[in-house]
Amino acid sequence: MTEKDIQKISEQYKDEKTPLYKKIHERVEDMIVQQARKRKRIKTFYKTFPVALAMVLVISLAIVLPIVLQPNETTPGGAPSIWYSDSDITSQPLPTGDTLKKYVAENNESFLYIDMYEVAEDIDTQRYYKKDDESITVYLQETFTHTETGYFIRLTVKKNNIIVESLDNEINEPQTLSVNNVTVYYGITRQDAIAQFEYDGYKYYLGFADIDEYFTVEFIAEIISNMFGTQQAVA
Amino acid sequence: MKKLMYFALILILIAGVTVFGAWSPIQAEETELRYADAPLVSKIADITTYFTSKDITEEGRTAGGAPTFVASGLTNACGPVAGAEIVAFYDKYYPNLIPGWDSYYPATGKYRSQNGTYITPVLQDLYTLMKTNDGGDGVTEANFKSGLQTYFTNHGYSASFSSVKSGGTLNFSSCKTAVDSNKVIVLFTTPGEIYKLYEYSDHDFLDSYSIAGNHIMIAYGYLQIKYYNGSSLIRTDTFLEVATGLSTVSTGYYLVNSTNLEAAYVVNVN
Repeated sequence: MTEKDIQKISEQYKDEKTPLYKKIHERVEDMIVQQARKRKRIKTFYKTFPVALAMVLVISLAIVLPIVLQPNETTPGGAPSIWYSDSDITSQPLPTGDTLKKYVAENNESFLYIDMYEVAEDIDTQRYYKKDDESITVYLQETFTHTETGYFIRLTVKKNNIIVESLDNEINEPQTLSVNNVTVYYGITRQDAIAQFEYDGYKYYLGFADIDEYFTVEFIAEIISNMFGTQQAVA
Repeated sequence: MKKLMYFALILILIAGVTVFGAWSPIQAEETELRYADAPLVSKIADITTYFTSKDITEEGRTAGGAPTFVASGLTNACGPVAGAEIVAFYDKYYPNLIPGWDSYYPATGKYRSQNGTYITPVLQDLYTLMKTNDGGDGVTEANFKSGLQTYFTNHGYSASFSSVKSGGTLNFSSCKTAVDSNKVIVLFTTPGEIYKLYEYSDHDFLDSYSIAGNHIMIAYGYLQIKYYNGSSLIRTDTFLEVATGLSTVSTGYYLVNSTNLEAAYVVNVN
């Protein structure tokens, strides 16, 4: 029923005096009022909706833009950080007999390694790479047993703009020593020892297990001195 | 009348859900516990103890320590890993438990690191013998023990287990006797912590790592430290030294008064 129809009916019966017609007239008038109210609500909605939408848009941009446009964290060298969780990475051993020494020579790399192969047993060298892109090396790791002491030694090396979930834990209350003017952070427990340092764009993690009461910080220094010797050999 | 019927139906439904909800945990409790790989959550809390003096009142370790292995491609395999560590441990004293391979360095007596050629087949053999992931994740205590015993039998030896848990707590004295006799202890734990101990001149720092599931690991040493402030004893920590079988923290200390120990056995071989 359109508004015109309602008005026609109202006009037609407005002068009728019987109770029934009075009732119909009152009903029709109510309908007219309600229609008018409805039109007013719709008008108000179409007036305020664009304004509300604009406000929501402005507030959302104000929250999102600073996050999206935030500059990437960069390392001191300027390269943006790349973060990997352990589930992003997998590993495979280097070809049988290959060591970090051979890897550095064949790939024209410049990182340091431990050159103690003549007193090492059970040498194992692994390349850790991105699961969905085998060409991306995340880090390299070499382990061996030092035959003179029986200590198990692990060297992990990566570029210092790469962050790996399981590697980049801080050493609790680290102590420091200086080797070749480089600060080394280390910690020694009854069972093992760890040491970390950064040099020339790479970060190095050393782990020592099966240690005994004769293990000292001097042994850590000896290993790291040996590593700096490999750089001189390449030069 | 209709409303009354609906109301009655809803009450019956609620009652049914409540009863089922109460019944399910009871049923679960009656199922044997299973032990599987458990993620190691690093550094959930630290304990720092300041002291004026401290005493190492108990300290011991099996000769050469113990092997430390990891799952190497197997899932829910803390049982086979602990079993392989036990096999490699006793290979030093009972030859050919791992044919063609010596598990230790003769010059130092320390144990060799995990070797793909020789240890992977041991892991896979134990995985099968222990019925790993058969009927649920990981292994049950019963299948761990029977699988390990079968491995030893297949290689010409026999293995047995002696409990070192009495009255709900670990018997530290029995653990000491086992370690001093060059035997390892296998621990079955529910979620709990292991620790790394850092020692300094005026304080010790316990770095806590949470093992988030039921787990099996081996103990090969013990340590007790008493801390004093002046002449007052302020703290005593008593640990077993453990090989966790986890790659992120391969060794640590387990507090003997931990409440998450389900069972502990000395492994005897002859």
